[in-house]
Amino acid sequence: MTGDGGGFGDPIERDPGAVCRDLQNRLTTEWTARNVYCVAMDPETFEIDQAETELLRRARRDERLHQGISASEYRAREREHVLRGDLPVPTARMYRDVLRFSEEFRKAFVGFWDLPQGWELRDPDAWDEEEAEATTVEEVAL
Amino acid sequence: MTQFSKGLIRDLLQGRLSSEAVQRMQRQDKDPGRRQMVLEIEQERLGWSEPILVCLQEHLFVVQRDDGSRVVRCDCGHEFGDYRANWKEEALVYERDPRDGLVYRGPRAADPDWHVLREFYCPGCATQLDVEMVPKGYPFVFNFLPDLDGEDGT
Repeated sequence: MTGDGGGFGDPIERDPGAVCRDLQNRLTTEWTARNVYCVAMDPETFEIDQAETELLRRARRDERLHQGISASEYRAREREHVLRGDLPVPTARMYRDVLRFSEEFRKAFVGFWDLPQGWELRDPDAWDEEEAEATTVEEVAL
Repeated sequence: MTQFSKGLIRDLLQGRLSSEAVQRMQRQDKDPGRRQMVLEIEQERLGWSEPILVCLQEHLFVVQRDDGSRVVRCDCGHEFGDYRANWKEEALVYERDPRDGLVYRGPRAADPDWHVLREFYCPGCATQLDVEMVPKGYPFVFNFLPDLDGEDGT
């Protein structure tokens, strides 16, 4: 579990001077300054190396273009988990409840994952495999 | 009611004001022409011929194209398609292991079985436009659908 959200803004657009002040005030770490904010500075004098900062930030953008995949590719990959009910037990319970209670959520969920008509999320609390499978029988028939 | 100067609003948007100055502005009544002024400033900054209808978030705008369509566009020029569809569908996605790095360590890190950390990048300029922390299997969060044809467009 986590108590955090995704944060605000792109860290590599943060003013290097502000990152430097954070470090001096011990609000961040050397590792974070360099690897998250991509700011290069001297750990002793806190002097910012503008040229290297620029290089680090450009390299981070290149890295993103390489590691990022298209949304459709990502969705096709993740869809398999949802379709098979390959989800953590508490998460599957949560979805099963919400899918039953909210028609709106059901529409959004089924639409997003492009799930077959009559699809039901595999019941993680079913007594045995056969019973669990039975909840997805319509999907198998398709 | 105060009407802030264009120069001051521009400094605000560019992040050039001190937090004290920002707080002073926040405590005052909202200036009535703010929305229009922000649109003007952004229009001038970007130099686009098509009008910006709404600033969606940092970097992203809804623009009315000459053919009448309304699309989400990044300030680098990359377009994400119709504003009524989730722009994330046209972005690059990277799922980061929440245990990655040295920011949140040990029990402070999120459990990768429970959560996924999705980063969305602009395919044009590689800016990180959003990060979602959602349960595994959750559809992309649709952040904001502006009511462009609403009665009160001011």
